[in-house]
Amino acid sequence: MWQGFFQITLTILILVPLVHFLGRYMARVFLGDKTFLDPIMVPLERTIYLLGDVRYKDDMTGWQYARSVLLSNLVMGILVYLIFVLQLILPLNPTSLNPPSWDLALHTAISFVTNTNQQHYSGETTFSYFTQIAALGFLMFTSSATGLAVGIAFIRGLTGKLLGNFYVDLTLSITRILLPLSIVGGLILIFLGVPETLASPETVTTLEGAKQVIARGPVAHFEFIKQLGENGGGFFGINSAHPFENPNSASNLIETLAMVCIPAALIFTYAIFANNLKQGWLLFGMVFIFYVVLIAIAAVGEFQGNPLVNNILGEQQPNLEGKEVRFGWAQTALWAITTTGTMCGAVNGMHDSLMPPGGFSTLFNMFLQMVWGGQGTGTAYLFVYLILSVFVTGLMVGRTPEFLGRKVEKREIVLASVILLVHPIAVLIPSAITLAFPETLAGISNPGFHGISQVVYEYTSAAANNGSGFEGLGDGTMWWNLSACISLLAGRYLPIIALLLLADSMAHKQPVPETTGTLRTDTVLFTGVTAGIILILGALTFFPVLALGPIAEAFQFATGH
Amino acid sequence: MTNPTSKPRRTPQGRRDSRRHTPKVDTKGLYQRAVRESFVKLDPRVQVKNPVMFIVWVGTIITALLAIDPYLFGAVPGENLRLFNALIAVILFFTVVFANFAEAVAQGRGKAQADALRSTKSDTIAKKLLPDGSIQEVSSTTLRRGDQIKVVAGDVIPADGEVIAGVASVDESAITGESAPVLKEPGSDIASSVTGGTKIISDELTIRVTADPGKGFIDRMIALVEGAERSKTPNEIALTVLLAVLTQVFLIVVATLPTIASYVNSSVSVAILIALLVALIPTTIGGLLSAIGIAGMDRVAQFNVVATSGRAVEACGDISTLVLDKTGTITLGNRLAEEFIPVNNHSIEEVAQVALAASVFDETPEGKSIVRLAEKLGATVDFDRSKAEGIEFSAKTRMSGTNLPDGGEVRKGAVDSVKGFVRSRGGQLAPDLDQAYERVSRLGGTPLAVCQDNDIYGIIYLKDIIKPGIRDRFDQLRRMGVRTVMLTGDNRITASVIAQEAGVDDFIAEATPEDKIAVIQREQAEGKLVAMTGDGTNDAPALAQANVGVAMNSGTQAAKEAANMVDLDSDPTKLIDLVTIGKQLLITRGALTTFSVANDIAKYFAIIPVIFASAGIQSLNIMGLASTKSAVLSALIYNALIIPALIPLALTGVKFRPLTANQLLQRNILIYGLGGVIAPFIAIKVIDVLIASVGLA
Amino acid sequence: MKRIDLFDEFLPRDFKEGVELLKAQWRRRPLPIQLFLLMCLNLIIAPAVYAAAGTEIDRRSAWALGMLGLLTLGLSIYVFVVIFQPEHF
Repeated sequence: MWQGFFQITLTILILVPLVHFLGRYMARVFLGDKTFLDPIMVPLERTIYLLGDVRYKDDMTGWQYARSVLLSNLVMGILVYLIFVLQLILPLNPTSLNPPSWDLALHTAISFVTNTNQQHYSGETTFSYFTQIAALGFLMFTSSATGLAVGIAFIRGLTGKLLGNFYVDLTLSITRILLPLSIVGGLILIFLGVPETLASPETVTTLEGAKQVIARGPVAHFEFIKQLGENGGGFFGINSAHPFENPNSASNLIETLAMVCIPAALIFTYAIFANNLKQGWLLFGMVFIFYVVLIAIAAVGEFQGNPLVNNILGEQQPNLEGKEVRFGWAQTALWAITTTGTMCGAVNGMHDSLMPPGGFSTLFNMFLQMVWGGQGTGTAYLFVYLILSVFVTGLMVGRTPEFLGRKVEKREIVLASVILLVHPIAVLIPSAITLAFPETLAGISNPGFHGISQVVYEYTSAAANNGSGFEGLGDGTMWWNLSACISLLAGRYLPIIALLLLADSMAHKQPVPETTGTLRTDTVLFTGVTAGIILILGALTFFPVLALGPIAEAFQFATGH
Repeated sequence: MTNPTSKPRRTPQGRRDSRRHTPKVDTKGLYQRAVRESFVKLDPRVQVKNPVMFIVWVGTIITALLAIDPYLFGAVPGENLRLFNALIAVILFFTVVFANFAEAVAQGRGKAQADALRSTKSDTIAKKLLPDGSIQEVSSTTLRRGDQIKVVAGDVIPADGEVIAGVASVDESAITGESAPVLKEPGSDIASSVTGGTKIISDELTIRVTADPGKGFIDRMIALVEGAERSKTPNEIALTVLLAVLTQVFLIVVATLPTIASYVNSSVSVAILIALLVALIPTTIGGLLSAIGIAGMDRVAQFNVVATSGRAVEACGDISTLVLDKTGTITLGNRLAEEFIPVNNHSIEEVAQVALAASVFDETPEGKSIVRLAEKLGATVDFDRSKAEGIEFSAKTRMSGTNLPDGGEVRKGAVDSVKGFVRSRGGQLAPDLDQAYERVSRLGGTPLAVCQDNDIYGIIYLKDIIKPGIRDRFDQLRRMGVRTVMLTGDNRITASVIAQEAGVDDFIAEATPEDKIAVIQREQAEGKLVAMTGDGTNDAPALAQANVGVAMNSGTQAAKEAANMVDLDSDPTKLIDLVTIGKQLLITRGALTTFSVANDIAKYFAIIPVIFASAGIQSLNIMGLASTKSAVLSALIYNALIIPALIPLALTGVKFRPLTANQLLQRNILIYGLGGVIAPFIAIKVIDVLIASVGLA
Repeated sequence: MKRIDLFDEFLPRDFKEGVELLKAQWRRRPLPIQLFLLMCLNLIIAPAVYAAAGTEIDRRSAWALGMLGLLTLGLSIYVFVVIFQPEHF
């Protein structure tokens, strides 16, 4: 038991200094300050701008920024879709894998463009090496960089700066953050035993004399950007539970940190942009407490194990169903919370097999979308909650609410509302439709309350751009592919457009000087109130489905049925 | 001439003296009228204007249908469904009625206030002056801007206007409550504007009408307090969006619930779903929002301030700088001569003599006080008054005085100006002049120099008296984050002494009217919202520039038109109360919103566990409610009753204390946030016990 | 090119007159006509509800549920209008 909690504590203790450092570095990058990579990267970036005809000195308005995001993502999506359907005639297809069906290809393309990486297929038996590298690997960088760019633009707007240029931010995200870290991380993973080869699968004879085909491929670089960029789409079907993706505890530690480092660091990046480190620490502390509490709920649930099994055994055993024994209950619970919190979506165990507290915490994470949150967008959601809190509490001190000296008025509330509304719409409505036709549409493997969790999880994962699967769901059907596409697109682009417009309108407000009548947002009191509002808004919206899903299931277990 | 749309005639002498600060408006029958109104407002065309209540209203109709036929939407388990559905329908119905009642009471109080005002305003006969000089009697409602009218003693002035000829005393008690008649004459800054509804008690005036009928500021005030033309303020609009979003979220949550629930075989009846929806949407604040706004306007009106828009009242809460005139606001209006300080080897009697000579034509209170002090010191007028010539004070010369019959010129005025005057007459400056000047300034007094021809005789010490209690009010303002800037024509030393004594944050000495605009613009450029008061025509541009401009009713028509509020009592310190009212308005909205949303937690815990009892989550029923029906009913009854319970709070506003923002937040979160979480748990449990004991469900 | 008026050529005159009557009524009194059209729309939705619910409900309930669904959709659209144009409320 203590070993498990020690592993968890160690990981989150490394996290704090790491993200503090990374946050400062990212702020330097996006503020245009000097960094140690300048000598190598500046010429490269200039060449890219020249080739792409990017007027890198021009700032964009909110609409321009949003248009650039949509246009570039559309082009990338079409390109990747074409690679999928043409993979038979493209190189590096040693096992001659056929192209996927049109709906699966569409779902996969949208899922990867939106940085979700929800997979309704098994990577090693569906996509060729070329597809994995050129299509999926490419999108892992660009979709993640898109999110990061939007997050930075949002922070700029909020702190009263111009939004910047999307193409420049996209380029910088890759050249200064994702690429350097991936190179280092990929090399470490190779060192830890993750394969990186273009050779075709190995056929071996096992000790029993049976023949087995062992899939392999260019995994190491793919694995690291998968984690770092909150992508989560595994090279292999079983994702980071596969020994070639995540061989041991050391790789598990690195991959866990890779997931959480950028979203958590962005809070400090914000603090430097806003020149308010105190608020940075307070917000970091608030999210950190959410994170730790959710880990604790999930970990204790797994540690206590299944009461039904324990009754048969006559003793308490951790729940190890659907887990890799090399990770155990603790690292799996930590990973599950981290991956659903950061919208990474990589898994190192079956979430379907988590005990109800784990199912509850993972779902709750994706409902809130701000326990670190997705790449760039997660921090933005945190600030949307902050703006809503400012609005309600600001009224309570008798002034038009202000955030960082900028008035929060009708336009801002409308835009924040859109962001708040997208999630319930994209999760609850398709879930309700699917559950109305359980036989024809759902394909639930485990009926009852768990079935509700399976369906709701799938759409939540899509709408939150997480991508992890509860699995156990027959989700390769046309209904799932197409309906999830709607949640994916709505969950990604509507909030992004709203965020950019919100940032734009905040940027152009005349700042109001601070007086003693101004509500300070960098106090423990205000941060506590914000935490309360986040919890209440999240809980109120999703309490019924949580009650009918994991909570009902937990009571079911407890009463021994 | 008759006007078919005009209100019934009333005598102009309404209850006028009773309406000062404590408006003894006619509240008899107010509640009866409000009850009637709250049923009239059930009209769907009215309800559709309030999204939250409209949803409840639609829910009422559906549950009423379900009371008639409980199996309308398919089979539902349970007994006595008719009664249960009928109870839900009745509770929902009363939820809507209570919300309507809140609005009706607020409007009723406003109306009563407006009626009292309207009694001053009636369809009088006006004597219109035609271009050829003849007089035509017309109805006052036909008067247009620019028309000229004549009023004689005993007439009620038919419209707002400006005096262009004649001198008369006017009884303005109908609008100001001040019983002493006011002198009105043309040309003068202050005294040339008249208000419709006031009564002329002597002589006659020729007036140019400055407002079209229905546009005069009494009309504006009536429209505002009645809530008839109330347009929503910016914060109210933003709050409406937030409430609509919460409504939308819960609409989606509840609409998607039945299929999700039916998957695990715990189907819920439509009536219970509607009950759940109504319990979750923010009905408390939704029902009280418009009442809060109307009551805010009403409070402003009770302070005898006419606001031209709700926006201006709300802006008061955001004010971060107050620009105040020293005289009349910070100090009592009249400075009095306190002492004569001789210089240049003159005796005090000589100074008194010259000061008296310089002040004989000065009708200002200062001038009169100089005369009084000089006479006390034994000075007498030793020249023929009729042959002498009075020199009026002007902002340019900053001196006044008298040209004596013998050709001598005596002057008194700002020390610098008098120095210049003496120099221009070839005189020498006394070495001890500056000393005396400084001494007076350091005392916070205004030094006036007196001279005859080229000889300065001495300094008159005009004493300023700071209003008692003003320092405390500025302290309060500072705690609320409002900075005060004092504007004065005094010299720097005097200004700084008074500023320090009164406790203002900043001051502008030797200020000209242009400085006012400059100060306002400078503050606004920093993003601050500025409020100011003013009365003169030369204040008009500054009043227009300020975010909140409060004109004194005694001020000129130009000032009143440029301002967005008019203070009928002409009390400049009222601005401070207005800041409080503006803040109170916002706090009340914020507090009730928080309360309303915090209530949802208890309502969820009341309803969800019992309706999904078959899913085995009864353990979440932490209140131990008796049954599904009693749980649903008690949550709804609580939901309905909390609206009338909070009407008094909505009408009077959350008590505002001059604390810093963080202290206020702490206080209000504790009361309305935490209280909003806990209170419904207790209340719902109590109602549940009552219902169970009555055996209703 | 000669335009073929579908109404004149192929549809009985009665139908065309009916549509015109509806149009005229719409201008004069929009609400009842809107309700009428909504109920017509529900004639398509109700059978779908009936089919989806299986044997649990009768035709009348299916029709009522269809109306309820349309009403909910209408309310949701109404609330969206409030969100985007709060000034009008």
